Amino acid sequence: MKRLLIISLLLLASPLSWANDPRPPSPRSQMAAPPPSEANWWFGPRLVFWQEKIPAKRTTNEADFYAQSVGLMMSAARRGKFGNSKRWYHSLGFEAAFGTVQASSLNIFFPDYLKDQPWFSAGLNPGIVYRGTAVTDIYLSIPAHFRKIMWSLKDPNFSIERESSFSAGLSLLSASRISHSTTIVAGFVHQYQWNATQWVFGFDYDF
Amino acid sequence: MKLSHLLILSLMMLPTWGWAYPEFIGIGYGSCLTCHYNGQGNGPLNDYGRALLSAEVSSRVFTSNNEEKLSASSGFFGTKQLPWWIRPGIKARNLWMHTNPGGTETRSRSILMQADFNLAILMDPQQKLIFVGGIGYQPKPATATATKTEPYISREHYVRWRAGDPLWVYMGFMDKTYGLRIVNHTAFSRAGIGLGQNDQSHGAVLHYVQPTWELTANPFLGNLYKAKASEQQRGIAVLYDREWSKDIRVGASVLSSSSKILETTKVGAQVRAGIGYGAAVLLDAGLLRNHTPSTDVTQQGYYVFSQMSQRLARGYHLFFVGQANKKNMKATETDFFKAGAGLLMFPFPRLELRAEVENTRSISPNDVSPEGWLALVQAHLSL
Repeated sequence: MKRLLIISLLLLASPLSWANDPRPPSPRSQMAAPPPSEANWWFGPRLVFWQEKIPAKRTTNEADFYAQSVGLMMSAARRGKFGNSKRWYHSLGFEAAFGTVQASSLNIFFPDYLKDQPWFSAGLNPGIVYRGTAVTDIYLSIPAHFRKIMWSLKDPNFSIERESSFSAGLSLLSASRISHSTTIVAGFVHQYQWNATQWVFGFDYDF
Repeated sequence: MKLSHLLILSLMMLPTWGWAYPEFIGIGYGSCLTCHYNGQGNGPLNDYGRALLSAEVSSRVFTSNNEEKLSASSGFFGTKQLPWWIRPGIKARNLWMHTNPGGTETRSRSILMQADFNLAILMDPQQKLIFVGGIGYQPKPATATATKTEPYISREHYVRWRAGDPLWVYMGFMDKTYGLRIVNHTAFSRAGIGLGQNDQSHGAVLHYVQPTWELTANPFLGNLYKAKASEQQRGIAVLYDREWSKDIRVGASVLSSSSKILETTKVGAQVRAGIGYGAAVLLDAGLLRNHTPSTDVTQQGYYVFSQMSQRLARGYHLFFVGQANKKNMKATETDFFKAGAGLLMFPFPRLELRAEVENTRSISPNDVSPEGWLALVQAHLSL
């Protein structure tokens, strides 16, 4: 398994001269493609969905709760070229999100089900963008977010962590333009401090 | 409840991958008939498909040959030409999978999923009448409860007759014509709705092909090799596919069938869009209704498969997949979700490598279950 993975990565690494690929795209596929956007600002809503383990405590008992978060993120990003490169851009995103979290534990001493607990978060997302074609981009970035969960707990003996927390991570997103101003965005963010992989799906609008 | 969720998540992650690439609409190929003997996709490639895979899709990093030489050497024996009436092929796929990497309950497996020999016999140079068949190794079932299987299997054998300019007729043992045929046969839109790797059926396919649209009707009798006649699903599948604009195709599918133990109806919509050279967006979503006559229980569910892929370089593609599924659309039932990312690589002609990481989660009304992870690497040799 490891050997094959290494071979796969080697096979991938060798042709990374794609930016200098002189071969023109097929005329047929280009007919469907809108022209490239030179917009500097991108704005859009995104759905985010992730799971993490959050420690909880009741008197002397401790357990990890599986917490599932769903939210809506608004993203505004400014993008600029790296020098005269036609392929590479730098990007700085400003992000704010809100949603709810559900949590429960497999531990029999914690039969609690925490439902619809509200949260919000805000952060920055600096990164680089690789333009694969005139209408497709790949974003690689390092988002950092502060999050606050407004836990509403009925049992005074029960407590759960991460009311306020911070996490930074690594993001890989794929973007495909479906019209002159609209782009579909999908991908993943792994947040290290929360040890959570976020699924991201949404749209960007250029203006 | 949670243990059952975990079991379902584990079962859903067992892979059996197939062989169809609707994302190639991103390089301008929207009709399966261009490259496959089977106009619905999958199965052996015709001469054009072999040449396209070698010259247009595969990387040229390890070869200095030009397109013409690559095309000319894409035959079964390379540049040596076979008689026009015979086209053999060999396909082998091996999968290495690692469940929950880095977790507590990790497991690694290597599965030889496919080792097939296939043959196309052309009855005339214009290929008006051809026979296509294949036989190969069938892997042992991954689940302990699965029924005993034969070590060898034929997943398709049929006669194709070009009845007129726009009409193609197929008779034999084939996949049912429903939805998007994709590489991952364990997807919610394939195995999840009873259209997995070994769910072929005897029947006929009427394929009416026009420049901007295709209509397929597929009456089927079930798998007649199955010993139990009560398990044989008999019915009809209809698929309509239309070019919406250049490199964008939309379609709809209906399948209705029944046996003594299950009556099923599926309705789905499909979108394939080539967005930029080598990049594509796929969507296959639908509803299904299963009725069990013996208990008079009816379940109505949904499924969604979506994929975004991008070309990194010739022969190298990055893809993201998102899926959703619910067997029974009641508030008390669980929704299952999968998301994955990976690389699809054709480093040189005749070899495909696919590396993917897949994350599975569920949303239930009363609890949160642990998520599942799966790392997959697949090698596919196609001669």
